[in-house]
Amino acid sequence: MKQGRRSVWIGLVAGVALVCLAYALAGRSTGSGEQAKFVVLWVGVVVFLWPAARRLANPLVSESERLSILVAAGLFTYLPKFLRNPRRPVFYDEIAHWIQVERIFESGELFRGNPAVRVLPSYPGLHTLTAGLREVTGLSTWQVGVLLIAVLHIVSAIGVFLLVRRLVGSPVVAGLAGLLWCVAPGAMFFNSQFAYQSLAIVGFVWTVVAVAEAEASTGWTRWRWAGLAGVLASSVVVTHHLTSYALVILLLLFTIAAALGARRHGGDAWKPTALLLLVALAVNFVWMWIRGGSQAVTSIYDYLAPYPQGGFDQVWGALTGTGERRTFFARSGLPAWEQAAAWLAPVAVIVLGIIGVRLMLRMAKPPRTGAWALAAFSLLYVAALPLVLTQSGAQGAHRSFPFTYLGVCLVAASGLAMVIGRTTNASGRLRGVAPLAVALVIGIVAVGNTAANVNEFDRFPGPWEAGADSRARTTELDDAAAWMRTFGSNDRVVADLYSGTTLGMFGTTRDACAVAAACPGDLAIWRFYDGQPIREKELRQLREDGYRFLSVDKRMGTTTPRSGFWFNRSEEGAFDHQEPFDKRALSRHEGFTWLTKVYASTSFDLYEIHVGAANAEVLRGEPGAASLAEEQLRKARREQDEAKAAAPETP
Amino acid sequence: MTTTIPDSSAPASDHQNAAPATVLDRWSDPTLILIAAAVVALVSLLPWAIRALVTFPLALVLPGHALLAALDRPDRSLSGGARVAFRVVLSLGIIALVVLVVGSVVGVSKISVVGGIWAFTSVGALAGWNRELPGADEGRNNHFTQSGVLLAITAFVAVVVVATALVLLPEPRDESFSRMSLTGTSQSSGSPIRVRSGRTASVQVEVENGTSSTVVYRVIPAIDGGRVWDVEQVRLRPGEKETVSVKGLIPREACLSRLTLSLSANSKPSKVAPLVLYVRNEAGDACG
Repeated sequence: MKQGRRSVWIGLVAGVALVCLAYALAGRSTGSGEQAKFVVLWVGVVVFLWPAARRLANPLVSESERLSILVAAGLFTYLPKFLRNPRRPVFYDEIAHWIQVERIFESGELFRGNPAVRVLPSYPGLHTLTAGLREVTGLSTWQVGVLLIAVLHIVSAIGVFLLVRRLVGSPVVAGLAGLLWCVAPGAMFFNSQFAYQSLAIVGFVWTVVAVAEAEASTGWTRWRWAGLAGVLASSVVVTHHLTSYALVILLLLFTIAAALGARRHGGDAWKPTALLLLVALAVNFVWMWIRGGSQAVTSIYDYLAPYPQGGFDQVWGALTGTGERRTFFARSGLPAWEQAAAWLAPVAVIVLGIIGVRLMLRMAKPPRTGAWALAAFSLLYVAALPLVLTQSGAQGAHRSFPFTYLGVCLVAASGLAMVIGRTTNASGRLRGVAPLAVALVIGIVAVGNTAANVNEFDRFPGPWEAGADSRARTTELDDAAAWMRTFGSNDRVVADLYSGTTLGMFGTTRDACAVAAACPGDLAIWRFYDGQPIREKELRQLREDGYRFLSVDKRMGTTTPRSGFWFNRSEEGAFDHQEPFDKRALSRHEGFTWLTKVYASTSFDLYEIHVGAANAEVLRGEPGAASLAEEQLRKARREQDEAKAAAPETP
Repeated sequence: MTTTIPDSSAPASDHQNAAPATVLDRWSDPTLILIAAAVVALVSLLPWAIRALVTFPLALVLPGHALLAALDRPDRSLSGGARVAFRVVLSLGIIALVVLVVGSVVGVSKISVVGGIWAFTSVGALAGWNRELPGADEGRNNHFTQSGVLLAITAFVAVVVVATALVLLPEPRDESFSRMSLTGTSQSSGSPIRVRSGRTASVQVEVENGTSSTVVYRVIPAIDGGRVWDVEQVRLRPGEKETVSVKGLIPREACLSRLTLSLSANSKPSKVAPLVLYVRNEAGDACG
């Protein structure tokens, strides 16, 4: 008994040391694809998770020890993201949320427009919480953010434990579900960012905990739990759009399951759930109305809809052979065994889930109706898996997995508990092999869930990388933004998405749409970079939409973006950039009289735009806007095209 | 078929019979909550390091605890650790909502935030004033955690890791760079540079050495392609920056002249592309 306990804590210390070592290796590396950091990272993770899982599967372990293990697991699985960028925000979403809190703190105004994410001000829960804690504690926004995410990791694991224990009645299954939750899709990185979904998903879990407790209680206690669930659901609604919709779906499933249960066995456990469903819908509706009514609905629809819509279209295209297929792990930098784990992880949890459902059907004391609601919710995870095969749908699917995995945790943990129980009681050769097989399954789930949506560049620190937002914030870029900030300008910036994020948010004082790539409107940003003629239309848009700066990252002329796009997903040539931009196209701006190059560094050229002040001929568009360099470039292209056309076709 | 998994009646599961953790229920004494809220308010005036140590944990527990006290602690069926976690989650939700409400009405400030949270906590605590507290003997066997030592070790390890990471881990490698940009009046007056009397124009530029060694930079001006102005030289240590002023004559006949400023490093061309500016001659008749 004691030995099992010791192995968990020794595993924790060893795991922490190995994870730190992996990040030390990554910090010193200069290239990508080096295997050592991947191996050391995952060995470190499994060194802790395996004994933790075995300990949690022991039915004789006390609840307080289970909670201790889950507290440790919550902190431990936050460690890689913490070590990724402990000192400052570097991810696109993190920077957007960080700056939102900073500006609320400075101005006292809620609902200020956000320079990078247009729907973000409509969901201020994280910002009000962080600004509140900042006012109370005196810590910086980033310090509060880091502490907050660590706390959220801990309480979400405990929440899953309580929920599953209430629904299934088994502390073993509950403990394993909490552990699986710690390595769920997005848990180690995406939901560990300082971003609204990281807070909302914890509220989501605990709302369901309160609903389950309400269903299990009687009398006034039931309605008190329902009231607490209402408070939590309200905080979810004002924090994150997608989480609030996922909550409504899950509450609907809970209500249906409770109503069906009441029909068979009697009782009124469905009432608090049904009430909460109505409350969640009402709060969503009222919040939308407060935030602008139909305009807010349109805004959020435009923001979210393209992912599932595009995904379904592309799935249909793949099925009928008319669409394009997604290239998986293209330039992700991940080793082959991680890529394999990403494919195997869903298979592993589906198999475990099937075993788990069979077990739940045979339990001496049947699970509560909420358990079946969660099992049904897990089917949405399975249903969304085909979307991963498509370019547009993958984003949507990966966004939905963190929610639907709550159901997966319940059924898969039931299956895992059964497998561990069986292997512990096994005899002969199986007795030696079985624990390793269990460790392998846990490893595959942990590695696969992370590998499926976090590439090398987001996971590890390192040098600048084209098309990786988390590698874009270099000292040189920060320096450029700091210099731009001296203008005190609230004008917009034309730039690629990666450098534009920092330049727009740190280099200007603008609230909404500082970065062209984030909300370009009709502006064809790529035309300023790929050598296409700049038309009168673009010049007029520059002037009317309040653009003052144009940034050129000269490295666009030497490489292509790993993400597949320089500006946004709808740019011309997105996901099809075979060649870097022509260097002459990137330097032709020097010849435009409506641009003044006011900043030049090794990698960046910054131009100040003077469309109004420049030669009026420019506004007539071509050829007035063309410089000598541009003319030469066009001439060279024409000659190339003519040479191609003249060349005889080869069989 | 029998399962190897214990159900809820297994002896290890203390959930079903869990009595409340005594410390939490004693704490729901509203007087204590009010005192604690007062401590938060007072401590908020102290320097951040001391303030954070006291106020962060309190802010994460008190608002949720006050709400539960007002509702007569429906979470008594949970164990101690779970109850603390529930208070934290409730507190996070409450702070988010309270700051949202007060921020919408009076704006976000230290007074409005602390006042709002304090008011909520006080109201919750007062609403729970007459609630019956469990006796001292109740729940004596249900400690906050039986693995408190291990939990402390976990916390200690986490703190050590945080400290280690912050001290030892290397910063990601940045490529070195050089930089030249407009500064001072040249930056603020914008483009084109207007010469309203005489024929002399001047430009202020800032040069920065973002490399790891000392570099001698030369700012080389050229107007309409011809090198007429004097070259300025500056020696910068790593991380240093300095403002350089270059000036010279502009062509008499041209209305708009093109001024380029190139940068060389240690007598070799730097990788920095030249700045490109325009000078407008408004002194004579060139611009009509």
